[in-house]
Amino acid sequence: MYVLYWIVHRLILVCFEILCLLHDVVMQMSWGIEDLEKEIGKLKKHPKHIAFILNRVSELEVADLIYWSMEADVTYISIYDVKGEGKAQSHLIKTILKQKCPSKSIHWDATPVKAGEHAYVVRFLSMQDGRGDLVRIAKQFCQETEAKTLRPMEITKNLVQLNLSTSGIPEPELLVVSNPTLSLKGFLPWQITTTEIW
Amino acid sequence: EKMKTQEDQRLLSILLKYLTNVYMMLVNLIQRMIIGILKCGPIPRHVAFIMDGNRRYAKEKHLKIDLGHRAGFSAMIETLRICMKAGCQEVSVFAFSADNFRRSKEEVDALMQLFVEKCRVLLDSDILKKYGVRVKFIGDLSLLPEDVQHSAAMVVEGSKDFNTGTLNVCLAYTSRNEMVGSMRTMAEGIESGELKQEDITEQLFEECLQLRSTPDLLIRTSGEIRLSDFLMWQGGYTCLIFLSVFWPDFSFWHICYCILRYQTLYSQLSDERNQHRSMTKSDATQKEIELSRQRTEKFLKTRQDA
Repeated sequence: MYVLYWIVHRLILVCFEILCLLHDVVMQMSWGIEDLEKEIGKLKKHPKHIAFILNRVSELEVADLIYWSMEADVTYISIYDVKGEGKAQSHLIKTILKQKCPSKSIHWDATPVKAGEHAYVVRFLSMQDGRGDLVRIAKQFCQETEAKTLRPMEITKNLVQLNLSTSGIPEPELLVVSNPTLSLKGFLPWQITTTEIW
Repeated sequence: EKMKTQEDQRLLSILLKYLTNVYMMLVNLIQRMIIGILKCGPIPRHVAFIMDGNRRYAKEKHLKIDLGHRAGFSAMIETLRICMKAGCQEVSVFAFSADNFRRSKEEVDALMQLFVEKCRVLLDSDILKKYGVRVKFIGDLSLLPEDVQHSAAMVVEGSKDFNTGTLNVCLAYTSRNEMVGSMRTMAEGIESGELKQEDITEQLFEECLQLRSTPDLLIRTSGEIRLSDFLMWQGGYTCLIFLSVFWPDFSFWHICYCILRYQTLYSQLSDERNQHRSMTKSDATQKEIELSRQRTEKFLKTRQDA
């Protein structure tokens, strides 16, 4: 009986995977980077900050992502990958973008854009900026507790917010995840309260 | 002749009852077979649900919002039943966010009344006993009215001896509050001397959260594609599924779909988790790691017993 169940299970899994593939094709859910502008245009509210969670980083692909995000008029762009490959290759990506669109003003050092200024902010993030940032803040609070300059009850949401390394930069409205499990891999746990996940 | 129609009506009702019973038996049998088939593959150990869409469901069916929430409760119980049958060990549900207190007083009061009533129903029915499910409430319960707190405590007390499965009900909960709570717990450990600075790691942060077990699957209904301050830390290495069905309509077939999705993505999720584990290895010496582990285990045990 169990062998029969196992055979049926295998069959169902295969059929299911085929159906999912067909569904994606029919619904055109797997769109290319160039369609980003069109997809963003469909949203009710235009996002100011978009973030990408990548499995692996290839300089040309990332440069494309940033380019098309800027074309879609998104001011803040964050590229996140767990290991930090984006950070390691950031100078290469900067060079590619300088060649592709020399006229665009890009803040690479995460300084916020002032009102009226037409510029873009691109950041490369890794695990230490996501969960790692919260652990860093926790360590800082613990050190202050030991030095008796802070009591545990004084730790509040506002205090954490002030100490985040991303303060000054608005929270991402849109998160584009490149893996089908949609797992966030430790991306900015504090800042994704209302972020839409694609 | 009047007696004849009465007799006919009686026979009809008996026949209907019999047919309904047969139908329920067939449905049960089919469900058992399908669960048996699904169990040939990996079943998620811990599933989390954002039970969204009760109000929209009520609006669509032209019902009062209160009835939408009641239908949502029935869906929750049914989902719990199916998950336990399928072999899940832990189910977490997002029942009420601390931000939901901003809704109209009428709706909040109706919800609180519903909680008290349904806690009573849970205690009186045998569903918790049948599946060996203990209930835990996660969140800032002090924000809730006294009678809700009391009912919640009764349910926890009444089910604490069951250990086949766990139902985590997140009430007056937000993920940010939970993370702040974790930081406070760690700071308290430092203050009391139970912990040292080098013990503060990502792993300890996670273990000091109120809900310390990572879900394998997180499902949100009603079509919204955000986490809305639910398990934002724990959702890091979780398979996320967003469905457009409203929560009261969430049924056996939806659960099967989610489990199948999980099974097709299982190897990828395992790879991601392994990668994460290998990345968070510490540089300290073996002895330091062991001492740190002993301290943190002792600390966590005292916190859990409290």
